[in-house]
Amino acid sequence: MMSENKVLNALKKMPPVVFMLIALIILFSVLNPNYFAVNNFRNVFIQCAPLMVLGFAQTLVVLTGGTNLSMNAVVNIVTVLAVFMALKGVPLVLAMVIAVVAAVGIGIFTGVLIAKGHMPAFIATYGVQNVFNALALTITGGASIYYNSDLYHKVYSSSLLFIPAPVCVVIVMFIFTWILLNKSKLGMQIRALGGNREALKLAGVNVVRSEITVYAVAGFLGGIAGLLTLCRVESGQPIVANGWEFQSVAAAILGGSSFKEGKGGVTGTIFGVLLIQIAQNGLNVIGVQAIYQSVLVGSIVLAAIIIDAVVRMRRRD
Amino acid sequence: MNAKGLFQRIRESKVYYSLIGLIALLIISSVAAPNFLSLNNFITIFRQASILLILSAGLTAVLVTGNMDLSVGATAGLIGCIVAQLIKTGMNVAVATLIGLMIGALVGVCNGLLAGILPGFVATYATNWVMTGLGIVVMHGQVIYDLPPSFTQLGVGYIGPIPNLVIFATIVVVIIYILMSMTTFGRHLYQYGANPLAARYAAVSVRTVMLSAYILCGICAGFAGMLMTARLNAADAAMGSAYGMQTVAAAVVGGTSLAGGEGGILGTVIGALILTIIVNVMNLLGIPSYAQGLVVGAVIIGMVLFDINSRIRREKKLDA
Amino acid sequence: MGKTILTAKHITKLFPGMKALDDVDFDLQEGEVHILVGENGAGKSTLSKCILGAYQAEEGEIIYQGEPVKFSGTKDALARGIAAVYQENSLVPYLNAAQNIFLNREYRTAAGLLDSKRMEKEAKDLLVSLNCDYINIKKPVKMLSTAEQQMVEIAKALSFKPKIIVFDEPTSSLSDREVESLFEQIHRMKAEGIGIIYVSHRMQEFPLIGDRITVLRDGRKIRTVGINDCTNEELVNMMVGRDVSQVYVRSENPYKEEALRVDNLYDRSGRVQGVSMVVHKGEIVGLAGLVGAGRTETAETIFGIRPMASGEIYVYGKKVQPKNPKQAAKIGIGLVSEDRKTQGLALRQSIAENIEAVSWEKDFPGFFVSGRKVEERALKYKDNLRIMTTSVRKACQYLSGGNQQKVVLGKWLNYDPDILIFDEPTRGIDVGAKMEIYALMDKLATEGKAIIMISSELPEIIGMTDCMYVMHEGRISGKLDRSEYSQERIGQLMMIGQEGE
Repeated sequence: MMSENKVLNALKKMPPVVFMLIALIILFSVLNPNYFAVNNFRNVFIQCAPLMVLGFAQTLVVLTGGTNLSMNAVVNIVTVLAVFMALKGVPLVLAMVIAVVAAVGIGIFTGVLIAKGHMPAFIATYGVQNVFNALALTITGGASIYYNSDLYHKVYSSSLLFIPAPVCVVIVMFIFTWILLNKSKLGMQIRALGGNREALKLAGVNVVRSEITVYAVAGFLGGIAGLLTLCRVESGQPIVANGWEFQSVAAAILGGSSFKEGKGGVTGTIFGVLLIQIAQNGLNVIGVQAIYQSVLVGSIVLAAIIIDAVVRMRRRD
Repeated sequence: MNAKGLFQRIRESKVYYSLIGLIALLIISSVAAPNFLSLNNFITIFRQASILLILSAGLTAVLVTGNMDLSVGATAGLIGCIVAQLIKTGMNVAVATLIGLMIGALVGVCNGLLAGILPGFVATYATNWVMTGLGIVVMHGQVIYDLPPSFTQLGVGYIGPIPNLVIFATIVVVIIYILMSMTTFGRHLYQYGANPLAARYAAVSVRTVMLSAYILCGICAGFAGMLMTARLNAADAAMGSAYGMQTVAAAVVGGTSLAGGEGGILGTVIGALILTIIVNVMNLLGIPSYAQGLVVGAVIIGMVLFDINSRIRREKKLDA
Repeated sequence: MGKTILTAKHITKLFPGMKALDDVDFDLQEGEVHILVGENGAGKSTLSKCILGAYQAEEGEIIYQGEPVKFSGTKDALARGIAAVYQENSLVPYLNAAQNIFLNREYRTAAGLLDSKRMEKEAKDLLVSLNCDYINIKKPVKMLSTAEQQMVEIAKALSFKPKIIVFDEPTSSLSDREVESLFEQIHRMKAEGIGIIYVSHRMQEFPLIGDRITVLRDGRKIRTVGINDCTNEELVNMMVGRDVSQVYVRSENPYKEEALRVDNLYDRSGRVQGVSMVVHKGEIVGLAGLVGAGRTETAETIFGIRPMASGEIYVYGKKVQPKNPKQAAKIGIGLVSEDRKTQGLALRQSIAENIEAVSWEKDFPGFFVSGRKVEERALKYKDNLRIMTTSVRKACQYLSGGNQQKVVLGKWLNYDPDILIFDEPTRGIDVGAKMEIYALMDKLATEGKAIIMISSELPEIIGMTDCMYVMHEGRISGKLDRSEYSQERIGQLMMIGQEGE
């Protein structure tokens, strides 16, 4: 009896998105028996690796009460910058490192606009997105740029203990953000930034600095997502990540993070990203016509967001 | 009122800082591009600005209530496509237009209902996705050309020297201006935006207020979508997508606060003009469109930074 | 009483355009509760903020533990042993008690990560020492009750091992039982030799905990007196600077007609359970009870904000069923809500706009608004209610609490409903404004309004009402006529829901 109650309680605590995810998987398996194959799931995980890392970054930002709409630009510019430098003769690995440093720089710049410049995050990051997307396009002249190397493939297709390398990166980044959020000073400050800024000031924290740090960390994670993307597309693609900036926000929200009160965390975000990715992948696998896919994925996300909100409202009662 | 009094009033008005930005931009533009300062170019600017103006005027009503609508671009695109398809099947232009406006209102109702249970930002992002997808479905993934002149005339015609688009935009802006600043409906919008809970305790029917703001916004999006199709003489599922965030930027550059309760149509007009002028000037200077985002982004950041910090300074002075 | 730990001499603090503090002296001894009173704007919080290091005084000096100090900020003062428990919640909702207590002073393990175990243990010890070991230390504080949160705040202040604690209106959101346990803790701190500065409006609390009282008015110190050397009346006189022998005014009621009848009212959440009451025209009816007894919920159900489950409401004999505030207002019911900052006002909007807030559609049935008329109306209420402001275009956030409350009243007076419910109409406002509000309520009743008054301050509800219903756990536990009022009877009905032997 006791354990049954415990299970029930644990189930009640799960974000609603988990159940929708399961429902979706069941639906797809019924519609296509081949859907439920290990290989397919492996693909889903590999495909969504960059979005997953962006989702973690976005979660940190959402918890402070902001949104970061420049995450796509960070990914775009990292792929372009790394390839561009490699083409100029910089060793690819070094170019990658520099690109990530640049991503951190963009994060700091964004953070300064918001924390010191008092700009609403939404509009500041939209401005930053414009600037760096345009910069990426300007560097490449509006097209994609290529630098041949087998490094991409090596990184992307190798695996560690049967876990594909991109997934390993995701796991490491998850542990990193989880520890950051729950076991570090900055994590406490992140929740306070979204939950009660005054309390943070009273405790003597330099809130400007901590907010900038959050955007810097988001920039770093964006850089890692950029490298993952680079290894997947094996080129500098100035528009490859467009759309991810919003998808990552949706994933964080679906995962139970909230703009208000510093509520939520990165664990839920995993399910949010998976829901979006599995919806996209599943429609492909069961063979829905291309023109219907976008509206269906959108509807699934919309439905999930509505169900999530309704369930949470009920739970509060 | 003497000149000094007028200047004082402008200084105290809410659009003062955006106005300074616009004037600065005009000066810089005329220096940078010699062919900028001409009547023809100004008519072009207004024509280019009109669709953005209509969209962002509608959006301002939503922003003032403290909500967000990210779906205006996609809604406009979708309705443009639907109307084009309807006309292609031989439907009367007037009827098709009316249907388009009604669909706009319907989208507004959906967004408004969703924003009642979700943050408007998240809800309308999702409806934006659905709407974009629906656009593809409506077009079967293709593009439609060659619409009847009775329809395209709406977007390409002129009355005297003035483009029809500019006239439509002016009408919409004036109507929304009157609604927002001279009627009880407008006062309720601001009241709700300034403090939704207090509005509820003040016996305001808050659901009606929010819903009507979204409906207004949806109708504007529908209207803008049809004009888009008429001007291009074509319909394409993706044609509205670029407008989504631009519309928000226009309103915010014009001093409308995302927190609600502050801002207005005058500011939005200035904001939309600023965004249009930058692109116009860069086109005159021959800067490739993919690089223009650099300047657009920088101007958005600069303007909003200036506007917000000037206001903070002004408020501090008042507080003392 | 112990030795003096803090002396403030000749403190002058300037704000642009005004002297917030003018040559104020103040001292605090070990193990003493020193109460600071005064009207809003008298300088209580400014003085405590100077002591806490949040403000730096232009003139004067602060001598702390025998030596002159100049704190650079609250953190500096805190490090030296001066802590504060703020009126507004200073906790982070989704951090737990331990994380909140150690915010920005987190213990860390050798690896640089947070040492949750150690923090939780120390937090637990602190809460145990406060007799609050029932508080779940692992739950986000958001999930705790208001009183539990307040205890966490106190634990947080104590964790700095302070010599001085400043309490700023700590009881304003607590129920009586919770206040009692808070006072117990304050006595314990006193016994440990901590000096306590206690800022409050609630005079009935003073004899329970205070040792000395310092009265401030208009930035000046009026007097410091021992707790037993001065009556409440004298205190009030000192605070407002004029004679207030007649605080409460209640005129004869010339009307007999029944204005509002509530029969067996239930709300859906179970906070209101079968409330019945009658209010006559021209009558002020009290609704007393502990915080959480269901008074506000009853008012909100009548006003249509809370969904009604069952029961009947009659307004002047006609059965009504307001489903939302808009319908309630149409019927003629107005609610001056409890929390003026979140429910009563749009702080960023102007005084004029707030006064018009309920009445846009009523005053401008033609859809178009006249700005001039709005302003004229606002000016009328500014004069009638004596709202202190330079302009009615000013945003309400710049007004004092008392003036803000007057704007809320003006809002409903402008709408002019027959039945008015006042929910804690004088909470957190100074004595002068309180008296004006009492006079106004009396005038409204005399003019024929039916009034329900909800209040946690017994003297006020006793002084102002013609009869009173007492609530206990969602039910009416008794009705008393004015002739039957006594603190004891009301107290029993409030605490135990019935009258004792």
